[in-house]
Amino acid sequence: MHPALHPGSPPPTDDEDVEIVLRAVPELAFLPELADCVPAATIVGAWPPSREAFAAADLDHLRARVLRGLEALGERAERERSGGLGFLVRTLTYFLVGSAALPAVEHPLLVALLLRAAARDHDGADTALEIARAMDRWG
Amino acid sequence: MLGLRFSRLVHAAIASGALYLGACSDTPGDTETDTDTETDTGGHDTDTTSGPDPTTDAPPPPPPPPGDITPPALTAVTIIDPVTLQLSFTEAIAPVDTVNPKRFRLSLARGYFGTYGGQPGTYLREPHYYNLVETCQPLPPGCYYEPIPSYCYYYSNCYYQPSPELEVADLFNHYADPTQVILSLTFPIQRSLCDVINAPDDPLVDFVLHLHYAAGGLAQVTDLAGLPLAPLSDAWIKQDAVYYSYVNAAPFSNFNPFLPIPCGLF
Repeated sequence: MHPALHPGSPPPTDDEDVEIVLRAVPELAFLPELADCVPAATIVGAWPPSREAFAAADLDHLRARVLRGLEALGERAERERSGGLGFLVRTLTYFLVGSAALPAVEHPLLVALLLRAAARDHDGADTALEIARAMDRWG
Repeated sequence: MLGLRFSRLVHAAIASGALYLGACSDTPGDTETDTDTETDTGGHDTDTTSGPDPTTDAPPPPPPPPGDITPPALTAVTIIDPVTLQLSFTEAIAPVDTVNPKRFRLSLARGYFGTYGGQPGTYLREPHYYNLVETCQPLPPGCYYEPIPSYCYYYSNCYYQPSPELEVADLFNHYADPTQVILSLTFPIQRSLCDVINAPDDPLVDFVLHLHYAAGGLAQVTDLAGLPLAPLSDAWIKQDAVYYSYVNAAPFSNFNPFLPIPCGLF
């Protein structure tokens, strides 16, 4: 597991720490609190899919579910005193809803969850490592 | 590209004060302290992790209790995840940055309670012998069922073997709770080891995973007053053997305190 997600992990203290914590997003997408947030719809096509594969999708419902998942993860961060997880949850929530909300295809956690849905039809793709690689090729 | 774009947005939000780094948002001043540190470019390089700035009114860390004559004691060891143990103490522990992880060692301790089938006592074993890892070899080339007679006898190409040694790799203070210390292990705990610990109770035999600790010398575990943690069945560390026994004594009586590590991972 990424060190930032461990119980008792310290919160980031500088820019370098922030970079390290942000890299935990692919693994975050596999935590049980977000299990219900992987879209059920299948994505047809080669692996990995590009952002264009999701351009026409209505993702508002996904945003609402992910917000609930992040709230549960925030409680876990509090319970486990995980500063890294707490920072990641705050940051992803900040860019999920409200005035700073990003388009779904620009939000790393939403992208990771969309990729998990697409990985369903590709053997061996639904792993944190493969999702991370696909996010790097997302464009 | 996605990561880079997001990273820039996050740093901009931190710089603007919209996001904060620290863990506590409900403590007045925390957000401002962290944000100021990140945005201060005037050469005032404050290390937020090394204590309060003496030029500010920030509260100092709690001093050790006056007249503390009680050494710290270990009260529990728990498995947080397959490579992480959490140690709970009776009081705050001084920084453990310089404590050698080799002061700690795990054992799989078998307690024998009978008298006829062997001597009652505690028998320590290297836990990695019970920490089995599945290893799969690729099938040998040229094994086909057809065409005859090119065939191989079927055999399983997977087997279990002991993991590398299960040692303490590093330790650090819990960032929020000063009475907790975190230990990281060199290899993940496997299901097989937990199965041994969680095996149905045999009235004469019991297995526990236990932590040992060697005290003394410099850079040992101490409380804030400098009082050291007592050793815990340290012969297992000093002998550095793969077997060690305490015979003709009540099982597990060598552990003081006796703190079996429960495994609920699997």
